[in-house]
Amino acid sequence: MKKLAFSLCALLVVSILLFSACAQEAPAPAPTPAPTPTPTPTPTPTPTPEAKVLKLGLSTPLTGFGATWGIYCLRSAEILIEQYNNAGGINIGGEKYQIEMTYYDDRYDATEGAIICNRLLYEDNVDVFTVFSGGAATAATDITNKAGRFQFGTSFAEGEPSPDAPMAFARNIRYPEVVSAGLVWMAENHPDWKKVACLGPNNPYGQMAQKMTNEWSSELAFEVVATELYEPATSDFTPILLKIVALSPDVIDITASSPDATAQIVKQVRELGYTGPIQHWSGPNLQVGVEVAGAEAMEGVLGGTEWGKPYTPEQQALIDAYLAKYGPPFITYTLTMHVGHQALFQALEKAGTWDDAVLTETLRNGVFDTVAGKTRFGGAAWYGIDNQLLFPFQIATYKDGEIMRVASAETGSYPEK
Amino acid sequence: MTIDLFTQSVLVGLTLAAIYALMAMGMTLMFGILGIVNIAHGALYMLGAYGIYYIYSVFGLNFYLAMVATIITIGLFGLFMERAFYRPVKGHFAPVIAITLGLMTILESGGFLAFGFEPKGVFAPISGVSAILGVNIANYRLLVILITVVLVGGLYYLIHRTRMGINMRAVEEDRVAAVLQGVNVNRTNAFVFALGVGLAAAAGALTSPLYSVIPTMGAMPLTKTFMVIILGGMGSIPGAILGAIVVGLADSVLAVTVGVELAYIFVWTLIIVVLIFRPRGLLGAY
Repeated sequence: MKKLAFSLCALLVVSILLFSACAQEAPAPAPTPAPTPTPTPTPTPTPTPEAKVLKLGLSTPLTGFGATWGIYCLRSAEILIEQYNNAGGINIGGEKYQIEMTYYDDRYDATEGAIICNRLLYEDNVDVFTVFSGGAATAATDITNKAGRFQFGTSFAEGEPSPDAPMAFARNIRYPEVVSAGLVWMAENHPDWKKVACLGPNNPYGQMAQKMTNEWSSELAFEVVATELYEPATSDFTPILLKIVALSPDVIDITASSPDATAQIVKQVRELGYTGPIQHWSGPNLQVGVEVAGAEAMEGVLGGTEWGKPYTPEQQALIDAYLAKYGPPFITYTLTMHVGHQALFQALEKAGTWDDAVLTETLRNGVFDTVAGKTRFGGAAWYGIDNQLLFPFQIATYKDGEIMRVASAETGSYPEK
Repeated sequence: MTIDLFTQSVLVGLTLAAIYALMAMGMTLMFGILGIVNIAHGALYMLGAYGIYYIYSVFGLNFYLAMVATIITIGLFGLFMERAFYRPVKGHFAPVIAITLGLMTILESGGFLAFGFEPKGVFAPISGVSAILGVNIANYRLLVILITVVLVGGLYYLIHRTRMGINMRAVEEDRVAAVLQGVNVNRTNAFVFALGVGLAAAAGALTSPLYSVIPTMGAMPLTKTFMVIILGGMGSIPGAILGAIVVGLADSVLAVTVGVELAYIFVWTLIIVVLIFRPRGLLGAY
């Protein structure tokens, strides 16, 4: 009896501690966490009974490997939805619709992604299904394709987007686009960088990035001196970095590394005395690197799909909205996610419907004004279908305490196949 | 591979070995004396890292004092864990496994809620590099090795030169006889558990300046810990240290010479071969 009473008390204490942690202001801003395995949907503000509603579903990683990207996908959507709803709603076919978003944490995992896709489509009955990326997106593509449903978001794996899934659109520029644009820029602006050492995660994305780099090497006249892959859960990169630094590369390319891994790699390679350039073309989140590795270590690291100052008025407006809602620091990957969301919402208004087939054609054939500039869908030369988002590729670097814009390059060119 | 690269990879491997040893000693103590396989060990490592982040990076206390404070705080949490969760199910394998798995999940998920989703950084208390045998190694990595040696020495002194150490050895050897000799087994168990938790927290605190601090940071160290104690022998502290050195050096030297994948294959092959010929591990008692 005494043992039972003590255990119950202990459970009560733990519960109180956990719930008080939830109630406290977190040291860093955090999104409203999505429910895990058997969740309850978390809609945005309930509209008036008379208001029409457009139901948007989002599957995005909020924990685990992809969280440092997926959180900003969610935040971008939340900000844009709030803007549309505050303006009366999204205009579809001449009528205003309040947008209600239901989202779940897919942990960047295929099994979770499949469960969530089915739940959003068949239990929550969303009108438009979106997914961030990763294995969750690949699993979802299989489901939406069989069901003849539109899907916004594909994985970064080879073979996506594909003519076999004509309604699945890539919501972000992907490795073929960013590596191509980044390497072309590198060859034009740093012709002295002849020895490139590649280090990436041992997953389809890391492998694809290194494959693209190898494919461009002869065309752009540089040599790939190392192609090292690490397990995604790795935190100590020093052994691999020792090997790489010993090759005296002109630049170390860490494209496809998560922002967290990027920060650790930069921290650890600087410890080894490497002061040379480091480049990452697919969203390194330089700000996260500064928080973890420190400003001095991050100095000069080049980031692609990384937004720097000076910002355009449209970009600044998003930054201000983000800071007002979530507090500092602003993570620039939110801008990257915003491009796709803006294109999608403009396409919905242009199409006048969320009908899967009509929305697909509108997206594929339209040009949209986003925070990146003129944005369209293309890529048939590489993918066989124009379902790949293309927008001006932003290159930035961390310099003197700020993330500074270096260049902007058009995407859509690919190496000879 | 040049001699300089080899030397540097050995030094880096010793840093990894130090971290693995701290984790493994804590877990092997728990197994040897309490019979517990603590799957939540990685989560406690994570709490150690967050402990030093807040006490040192946020509140500004001296790093070394912050480390002591972190170890004591998380160790006290370990006392609570032992009393609340493990003692009621002591001796029952399946409930212990279920509870440790549950605690690991609760602590990791709770970590995201309490500490946020963005990675945190802890900056090393000493910077710069030193030349050792003609190669450069970060001063902080040398500090990690030094602190680990001090902690191992302290543990040795505790086990072999103190009353509590005698009690611990008595309970491990023969619980019933220990009780008959007047040893308070519950108090000894609680102390051992807290000590194991404190060692995990120490490992997390020490590694926080090397890596980023996130709630899931304990997953890989937990895997390495299991590799170390299986290789070295469950319940053996010298085995844990030996296993840590083997795995740490393999992770570094082999990764540099033959690549990461082959390094993994080598270590697991070694573990399997050792277990076939010596099921209790290199120096294990069980």
